[in-house]
Amino acid sequence: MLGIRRALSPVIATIIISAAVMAIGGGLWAYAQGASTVIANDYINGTLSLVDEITERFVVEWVSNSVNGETLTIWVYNYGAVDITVDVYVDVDDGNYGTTFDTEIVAGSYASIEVSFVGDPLETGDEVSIKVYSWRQNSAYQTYYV
Amino acid sequence: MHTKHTMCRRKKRGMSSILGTLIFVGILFTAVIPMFLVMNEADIILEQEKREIACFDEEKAREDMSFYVYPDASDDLVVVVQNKCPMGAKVVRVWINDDPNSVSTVLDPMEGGVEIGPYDVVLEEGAIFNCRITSERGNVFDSSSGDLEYSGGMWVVETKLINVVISAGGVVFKVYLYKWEDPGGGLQWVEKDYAQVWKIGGSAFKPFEVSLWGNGEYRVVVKRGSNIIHDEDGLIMEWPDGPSTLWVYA
Repeated sequence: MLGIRRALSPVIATIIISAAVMAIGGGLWAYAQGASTVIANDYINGTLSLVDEITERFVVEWVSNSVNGETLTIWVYNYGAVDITVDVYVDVDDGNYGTTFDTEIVAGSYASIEVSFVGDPLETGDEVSIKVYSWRQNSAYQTYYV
Repeated sequence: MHTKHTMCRRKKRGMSSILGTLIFVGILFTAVIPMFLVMNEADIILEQEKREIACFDEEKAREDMSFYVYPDASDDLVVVVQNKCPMGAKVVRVWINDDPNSVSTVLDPMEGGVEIGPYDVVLEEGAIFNCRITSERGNVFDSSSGDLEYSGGMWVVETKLINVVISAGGVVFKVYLYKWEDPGGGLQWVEKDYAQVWKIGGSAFKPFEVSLWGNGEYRVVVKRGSNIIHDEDGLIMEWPDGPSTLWVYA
């Protein structure tokens, strides 16, 4: 009986093993393709983000304050090739400070960003340090004397 | 029986090896290699952008413009721009105090005398007009004539300048400034200032401030050694009826 079973098993075993190899291999193939697509897409997206970060350019073009000192206006010019979103941090030498967040500036245009000093206005002679910080972690600095 | 059994086992190994190899090669050519090709493409784009932005930054650093502002007959302000670098440039904004005026003025390399404006301004006693221009590359330039002031019904400028730009061949130049006036023995050219300038590539630039000597006719002589290479008179300073900055190109 054992001998008869062995006589049939090589063919069946070959078929079974082949089927198993094809099934596992096909699955592996599909997984590899999916994984490589995901990896490639992530890599491309990361690279393009890096390109945007590298090519981002902006400058503080002009600064002025209102007569009563309660508003500091900062003009930021985005002369790079990508749109930017910036946060502005202002420190005054007397300890006063102000911030304005989330200002979007389209590539090639400028925006005037107002920082409020209501209640503790800027005074003549104040030295104001301005930092414009983009969401891609680039910065522009300017010092302004009231 | 024993021999047949061994042969069957060998056949089974061969089939699975072939299939496995085919699958491996298939994965290699349809998934792994395309992935590396795409990644390589992204790396190439990144390197290109790095090079381009480095060139852009260099161009920005080399960009150089000067300008002056004068009031026209209607007391509107006119901006006159000079491109001082061997690259084209574009002015995108003219600032008069806190008012940005968007423009789109393209200047050829070394092009001068390009007028922008006029701009209407509110004339009040003691009003000061601080002017700047912004280039497309992100540079901001101040007026070479300083702030303008409207005082006592007249325009006052911080400085009156005669700028001399020397592009002629040579290294050391002597620049003489004369004014047509009467020192006591009749009208003649009277030497007012002198400078020795060096040109190391590009152009040499020498500004003469003439606020002290006031309006009138000036003459500039440029010498290389003992040879006169440029002699220009008829430089009429008549501020505020004309520009506060005059340019001489030798």
